[in-house]
Parts: sequence; C-alpha cells; structure tokens
Amino acid sequence: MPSKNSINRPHHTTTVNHKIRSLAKKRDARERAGLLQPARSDARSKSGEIRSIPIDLYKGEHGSHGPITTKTLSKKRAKKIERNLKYAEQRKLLVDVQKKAEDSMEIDRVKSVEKRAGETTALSRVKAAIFQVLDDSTNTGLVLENGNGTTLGGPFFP
Amino acid sequence: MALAISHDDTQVLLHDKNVLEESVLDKYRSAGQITQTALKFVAGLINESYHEKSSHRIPIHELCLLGDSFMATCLESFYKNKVAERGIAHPTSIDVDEIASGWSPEIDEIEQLRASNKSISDSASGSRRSVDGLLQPGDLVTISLGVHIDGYTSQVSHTMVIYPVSTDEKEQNVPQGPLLGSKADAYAAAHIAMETVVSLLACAATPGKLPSALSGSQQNVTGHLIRTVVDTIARSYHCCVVPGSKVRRVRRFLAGQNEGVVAERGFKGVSWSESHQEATMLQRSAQDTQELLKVQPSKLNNESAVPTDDFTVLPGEAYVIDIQMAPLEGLAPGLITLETVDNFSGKSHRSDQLLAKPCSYVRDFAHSYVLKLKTSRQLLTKIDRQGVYPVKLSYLSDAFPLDVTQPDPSSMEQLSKDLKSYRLGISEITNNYLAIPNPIYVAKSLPWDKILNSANPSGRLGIDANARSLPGQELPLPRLNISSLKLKSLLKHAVSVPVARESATVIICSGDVVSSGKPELLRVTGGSKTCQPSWIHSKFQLDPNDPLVQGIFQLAELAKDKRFGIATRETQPLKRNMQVTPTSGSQPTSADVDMA
Amino acid sequence: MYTCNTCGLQFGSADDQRLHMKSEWHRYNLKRRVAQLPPINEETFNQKVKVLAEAPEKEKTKQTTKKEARRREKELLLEKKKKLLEAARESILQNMGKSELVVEPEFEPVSHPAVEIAADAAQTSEDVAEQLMEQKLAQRVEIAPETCLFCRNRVAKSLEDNLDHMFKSHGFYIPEQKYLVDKPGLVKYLSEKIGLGNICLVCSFQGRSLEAVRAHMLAKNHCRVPYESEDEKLEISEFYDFTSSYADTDATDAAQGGDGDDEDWEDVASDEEGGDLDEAPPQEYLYNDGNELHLPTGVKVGHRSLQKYYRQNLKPETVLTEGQGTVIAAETRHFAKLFDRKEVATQKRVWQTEIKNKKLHDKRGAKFINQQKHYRDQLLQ
Repeated sequence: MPSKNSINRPHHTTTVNHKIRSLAKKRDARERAGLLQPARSDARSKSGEIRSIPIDLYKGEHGSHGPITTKTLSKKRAKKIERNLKYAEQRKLLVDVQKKAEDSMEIDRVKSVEKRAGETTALSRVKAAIFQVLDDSTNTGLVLENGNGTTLGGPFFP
Repeated sequence: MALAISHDDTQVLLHDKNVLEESVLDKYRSAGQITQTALKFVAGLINESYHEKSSHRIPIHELCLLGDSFMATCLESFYKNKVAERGIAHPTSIDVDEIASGWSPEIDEIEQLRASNKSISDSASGSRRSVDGLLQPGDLVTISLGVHIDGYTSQVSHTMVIYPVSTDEKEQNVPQGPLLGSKADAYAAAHIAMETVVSLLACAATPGKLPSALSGSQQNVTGHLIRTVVDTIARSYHCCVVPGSKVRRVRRFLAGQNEGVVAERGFKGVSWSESHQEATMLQRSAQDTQELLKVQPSKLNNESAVPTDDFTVLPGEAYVIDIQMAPLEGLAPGLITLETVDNFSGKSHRSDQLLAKPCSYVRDFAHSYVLKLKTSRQLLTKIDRQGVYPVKLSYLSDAFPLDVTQPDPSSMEQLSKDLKSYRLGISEITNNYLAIPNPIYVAKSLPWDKILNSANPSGRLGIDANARSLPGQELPLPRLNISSLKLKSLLKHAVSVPVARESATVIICSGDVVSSGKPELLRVTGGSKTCQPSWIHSKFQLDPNDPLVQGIFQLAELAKDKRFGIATRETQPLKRNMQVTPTSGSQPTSADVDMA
Repeated sequence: MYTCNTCGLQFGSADDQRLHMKSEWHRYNLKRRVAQLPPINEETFNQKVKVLAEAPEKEKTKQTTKKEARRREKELLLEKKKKLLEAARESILQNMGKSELVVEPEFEPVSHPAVEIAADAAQTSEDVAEQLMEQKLAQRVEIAPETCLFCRNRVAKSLEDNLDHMFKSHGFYIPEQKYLVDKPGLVKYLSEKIGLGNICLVCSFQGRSLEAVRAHMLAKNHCRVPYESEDEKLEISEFYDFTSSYADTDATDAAQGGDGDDEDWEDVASDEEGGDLDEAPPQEYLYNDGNELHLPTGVKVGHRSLQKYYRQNLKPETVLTEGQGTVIAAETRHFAKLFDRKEVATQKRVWQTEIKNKKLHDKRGAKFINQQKHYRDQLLQ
C-alpha cells in the first residue's frame, strides 16, 4: 500500500470517507445516549426559543444526570421567573381581552373568573392537592361523639 | 478501615450466624432478661424518687449512669468466658416530652447544660426538664435501653407518666388521676399500636391464623399491612407516627444502632419518614394524585439497602418494633419532623431552643484516618474494644460499672476526671468522622402552609450528609422538592410536640426451636411485666365500623385465646439479687390489649 | 582414660595416645569429621591406603609416563655412553698398553665423578630427598621452648615469657588458645619446622639453614601461625580439643540413655543415619545465606542493604472482631470510585492517539510549512 505521503494514492476521497464515517459513528453514539438535541423540524426542538437553564430547572425539564450538577437556579432567579411568568400570563390575557373588546360590540362585559392556567408541573399539582386538603374543613379526625374514649392502666403505679 | 470481607465470611456472618437455633435463642433470652431487669430497675428508681417521696429525687444524668452500671454489672455474670463480645447495645436514655430520642447525658455535663440553657421557656417542657434534670408531674418519660450478648441484641423503650401523688384509703401512694389531653392520646396510640404489631408478627409464625379483614388476598404479614395497621391506629387517636419509627428485622450486630451511618445491605423493615406524611396528605386530597405519589428512586444507593414495604415477615427472624406517636390535637395541620439538637448557640434567639451535645457515639469503620493526638489514638483503641454498638465516654473509664447499691462519691470523681481527658480525644475523632455522635432529636410540628409557600427548586438534589437517614430517604419531602436542609431552615416556624414511644424486640420462632413444638412469638423485651401502661384516658377510640379496626379487634381476641390463638411468650425479668444464677423464667402469657 | 574421639579409641597411656595422634589414620579421620562423615577403623583405613597406593602409582605412572619415558631414554643414553666410554677406555687401554697406566687413574677419578654424577643423575627423586633429609638432620638445631623462634640467641626465662616476647615483638599469636591442649607440643612442632625443616611457617619458603629461614620470616613478617584454610588448621589440630564447642545434644542423648558423654556429636552421628545429618540445619556453623548471617546461636543478622526495611515501622495488621466484621460486611457505601480498567485503558488510548495524530500532522505539514504563496517583504519598505 503506498504511503500516506505518496502521490498516486487517492488521498482525498479515502480521507474524507473515513472522516465521514467516524463522525457518523460518533454522532450515532451520541444520539443513542440521548446527548443530541432534537432536530429543528422536530416538535420538541427549542430552536429559535430562548435558551435559559434557570427556566428549564424551574420547569423541571432539566434531567438530572447524577448527584452533582453545575446548573443552578438561585432563589432570586426563581422569584423573578415566577413573577415574569405571571406577567406573561397577564399580558396574554390582556391581549385577549383587548382583542375581544375591540372586535366585539358588547358594552357590558361580564368578567368571568378565569380558571388558572392548568398547573402543568408536578410540583404545583402536589402543592395544589395538599392545599386542598388543608382547606377542606370537613376532613377532621374520627372522633366518635358517643364514644367512651380509651383508658389504659389504673390507679396504681405499674 | 475500608476493608473488604471475603464472600464466604460474609455468608457466615450475615446468614449462618443469624439462623435461629437453641444457642442463639438462649443468648437472646439472656439479653432480654437483663434488659427487662434493667428497665424494671430504672422504672423502680423513678417511682421511688418521684412517686414514693421517700428518698431524694434522682436527676436524669444519675439515672442514666445507674442504669448503665446496672446493665454492665448484670452482664458480667452472663456468658462470662463463652462469648467474645457482650455489652450495652443502647445506652440508657431518658427522654422527656418532646425529646424523641438520644438524651443520655454524662454526669459532668450538667453545669455546662444549665449554663447554656438558662433561659429556656416552659413551652419546651421536655427541654426544661432535661436541663434541670428533675422530672415534674405531668411528664411523659421514655426510658430506652438495650443489651447484647455475642451480637444478639435486645432493646426496649417504655414510656411512663409522672403523676402527682396522693394517698388512698389503704395508705398507699396512688396517682391522683389519669393523664388527659393530647399526651394521653399519643400514649394510647403508641401502646395499642405496639400490642397490635406484636400480635401481627405473632401471626407470621402461623400465617393461617391471620384475620381475613387484615390480610386480604395474601395470607402473610407484609410491610404494607404493618404500615396500614399502625397508620390506622394513629389516625384513630388523632396522632401522627413520628419519623424514625420502624418495624425492622434485626440480625447479629446489625440491630439498627448505626442506621444512618452504615447503609446496611438487606434492610428489611417498615420505616416511617416525612415522605409518608406527604403521601398521606396527597392521598387524602380529592384530586387525582396517583401519578404524583411516585417518587424517583435515587441512583446513589444499593437497592438492597433501600427500605421498601414489599417484604414478608418470615419465621426465624428477630424484629425490633419502635413506635413513636405525636399528638396532633390542638395544632395547626403540620408536618411532624425531628429537629437535631446541637451545641451552637448563635443560630437563633428562640426561647425554646435546647443547646446540648450528644453523648453517645457510634464507630464508623469505613473511614480510616491517622489521628494526630496520642490521647485520641488511645481513646480510639478503647472505643474499638467496646464493639460496634454506641459507646458513651463513661463506659471507657475504669470506674465505670458503679456499684448501684452503694453509690461511691470517689468513683464518681474518678469518672469525672476520666471524662475530662476523653473529651479532648473524642473531638478529633468526631471531626474526622471516625465516630458519629448519636443525635438528640426533638419532635416538632411544622405547619404545612409554611412548607408549601417556600420554594426549593433544586431540593431534589440537596442531601444533608450529616443527617442520619436511611439510604433511600435522604429527601424528606421528595414530591414537594424540599431538601432536609431547607426543612431545617423552616423549623424556626415549628412548634414542639410531645412524643410517646414504645419499643421492643421480638423473635418469631418456628416450631423446631421451641420446646413445645408449636411456632410462637418470643417477646424478648417488653410485655406485661415491665411495660405496663400508666393510667391515662384518651377521648379518642378505635372506630368499630372500620373493617381494618375490626381486624385489629379480632387479632386482639386471638392473642388472648390460649388454646387456638397465637402463642406469645414473654421474657421475665430476673429476681432482684443477681448473684443467684438467673432464673430463666419464661412463661407463656398472652399479650394484653385493654380496649374500651 | 586417654581417648581419641575422632577415631573412637581408648588408650591406656598418654604416650599411646600421642603416638596415635601422629598417625596417618588419625589424620584421615580428622578429615572425615570435617566432612561430616563417620570415622573408620584401622583395617578399613589400611585397605583404603592400599587401594589408593596402587591407584596413585598407576596415576603417577600414567601422569609421569612421559617423564619416566624421557628419563629412561636419558638413562639408556647414559648407559650407552657409559658402554661406549668403557669400550673406548678398553680400546685405549689395549692400544696404549701398560705404559699409560699412570694416565688412566687420572681418567678414572675423572670418569669416576662423571660416573658418579651420571649415577647421581640416574638416581630417583627419592634418593635426593633422602640426601637432603640427611643434610637437614646433620644441620639440625634444637630450639628450646624458651628460645625465641625468630630471634637469634634470645632465651627467655620460661615458655610463657618466650611466647610473650614473641607476641610483643614479632606478632606471634597462637590461635584458639581456649581450645589449646598441648601448648609446649605446638611450640615444639613449630620449632621443629623451623629448626629441622627450615621451612617458613606461613609460606612454602625452604631455607638452606636455620639462619636463612629466620631471616626470611623476619624480613617478610611471616612470624605468625597460619590459621585460615582448613589445611592449616588441620596441621596443628592435634594440639587442640574442640569438643566443648560442639552444639549440645546432651538432652537427647540423655533421653536415649547416653553414657554421659559430653561428646554429643558422635552420638548424634551414630544414632542418626547420614541422611538426617544432611537435613538438619547447620546449627554449629556460621554461614551467610545471601541476605542474612546465621550465627551458631541461632540469631540472624541482617545485611545493611536491607537496612531501610529493617527500619520500617508499619502499622500492625488489625484483627477484626466478629462485630466489626459483620458491620463491614453489611456496608454498601462505596467511597472511592472503583477502578474501571477498561475505561482507564480506553482513555489512555484516546490520549495517545491524539498525540500521535498531532505529531503526524506536524510531520506531514513539515513538507510545505516553509512554502509561501505570496512574497512577504521582511522589511516592508
């Protein structure tokens, strides 16, 4: 086999093919390991959207890969995100309301109590469920009204 | 030491040595006798000092020392040259009211305690009593102690009430009246839960006798069943099971003494933690929370070390039942959790803050470190000679087993002197994690809205390395993403709750090891002789309409039935003068559950 | 009782013993003892001698055949010459007649010495030795025990004074004095060597007279008793008694109902077969085993090349109790990352290929790294 520095050997094609193959292998391995982001055309892709690690953490989308991490969400950031999401919701609502007000001919619009946008995250659902239990006043103990209670022991020192 | 044990040795140590045989049963029985006698002794001392008004009132630190000396003296006459290791498995601890566990002070710490806790409010009554050292009427006092012979451990924990005393017609001292209120609820719940679990485990020896209301489809006693039963009883008495309660299988040298330190392989038991309270709250909600209940298992732990409820109770195993109940009456709905007591005074200005140092230490063999101080090296060799169970510094002194019949002030002085020199060494040992102190826990109720309104987004990643939690339970509230450090910081909003605790060791014997030939449950510690309930009245009771409660009643009936019911045998305490060869009195009695 | 323990004999008188000690048989038994063989008795020895006497002759004849052949040739030549001479003489006599009888006697004495010389030449080395011996005997000087062996005309007051003087001025030291039995005998032997044999004590210098050998010894400082090699030791061994230094097997011998003999090596040798002696460690000897020196007392002395190991203070191995063992066995915490061989190997491979590729790249680039496409003016003017 002629050497690497020889003239007659088809350097270019072989090298390029080799490179293509090795890159493809690595890419496939990464894809299998789930390290690649989905394609631009894919529904899950986040191309064009804002890339923000704290927001991902807040939403819970950042998959934890083990005990240690460098992607953090500070409390300040978390409060800001919460606030901004609220404002974003309000803005959307505002836009809707404005649009409706513009287009429609209604004079007195009854403001309906908007149901809060569905709690998407598991955390918020858990919190909602527990709040519901706390607010539920009917859920008391099993005190039997006509029960005698329980007595243990007697008038002696055991 | 970071050593590895060969596979064959592991087999022998973990499996072969735990096979229940006559010799093993004998060791358990002897250990049980000593424990029962010691419990009777300490309870007798408390009765004498606080109920009889005869002698002076013995303070808590002296009670602990006397209890330990008694156990050590008793042990000396048992299995003298036949067994390599025997000793105290659980130092005598006297926990009052809201102190859940770990209060076993050394005798020279009292001044320090009183000095640093001068302004402790009465709302934290248990802390107040512990600092003063003297008990007051109305206190819920828990005595815990344990002994092991050749690694076969027996532990007991019993709660008793201190009463104001009056004399009745017969000129005897009697309690003025039953204890009422939330403490009584907790007491009743703990006692009844203990008896029920004992009967349940007795059914495991003869699974056919399990009432159908309890077992459902499968005819064996599983962890789920135990948890459900105890939770039902707790709910009926308007109490909550305090995290740290467990019903677990114990083996030779692995009796739960180093639970948060060593991730024990083959952990088999039901363990209550905050996450179970979280799950209960979710289940009570009307919303659909099925998928929310699932928790991602952490990848860090060995699977066999993580406790699950999917196990069956088999004959030939020894179990430790440790139930702690905290009453919820009169409190805002909150999470019952344990706060670790430490010695740092600057962390808050709360009036009910208890500042104390833990006094018993568990050796951790996984860390290896060359100590720099000579005293600490000597101390470490002394600790290693003691064994794998928790060690108090007073055990290492030569003056240690004090003569309990005649207190000798010179030996107390000798003990104090030795303790001073040991404290220097133990600080280096503790700083390098060669020995971990057994923490002092105070039970607190943290209102739910405080927890729900706090944000801890990376909570599922936070693990407190110093907290002694079982391997899979590092996160107290996994579904709410609250880490234990976050919970610690929220405890400033918490309120103390009193705790009633009952603990015992039982062995489920199959037919071939028992003299009578029938499978039975041996109550190594606890039972009617030493753990009789104090006089209390709770306004709650078990609801007979609930099928589970009906099953519980059936279980109680079975336990009383001597012919066809489940057989239980109790270990009797020794007679008072121990020089006589111990009577191995074990009479078959049935567990007594007094239910209105 | 006078005994010889080497040969296992008993004598009635000291003279018999001394006589025996001088014999060849005893010498041979000594040598056998050194080689750890059992002693033999007289007949066996004589037989051996006979056998070996024939062999050496044969060997000698084999060895010295050529010499002998040459000698014989010479002798033959000489004989021929003699015959020729005689023939010539006769013919001369006959020719000359009786007139020159006077001349002949001149020849005769001349020829006689020649014949004598020839005769001498024809003699074997043994006769020469005998002659030398006679010479020596004639020249012999008895050096008294009080006379210094090396100085001329120096007489001390006693043997001890003499030895003292010799020690101080000549460095003459008698080795192993603890085991020396016959000091005057030894001194006499040495004085015989010097006085009669005129041989230097240390080297094999043979002097022609006592003065010669004395001068040699003083000049070369050979005024000592050689005691290094086995032969040297054997030479004067008959004046020593080393039985007390042998390792005692008195106990075993007593158990076996020994005679109460202190000479245990003999019993040991007789009781055990030769095989056992081979297996038993050489307890009596000082030997060097490469790393250590084994002393007869059993102590092992370490070599300084291993000094750093002898100085180490390692922590003693901890013996775990059952409790500690159980707790460690039940541990599932892993603190150190377990060494994954394959992972580490692949990582290393990756690094190596990286470096290799970098080097290859450099090498290929080297061909045209200096090629400039465009002219670059260094000075840009």
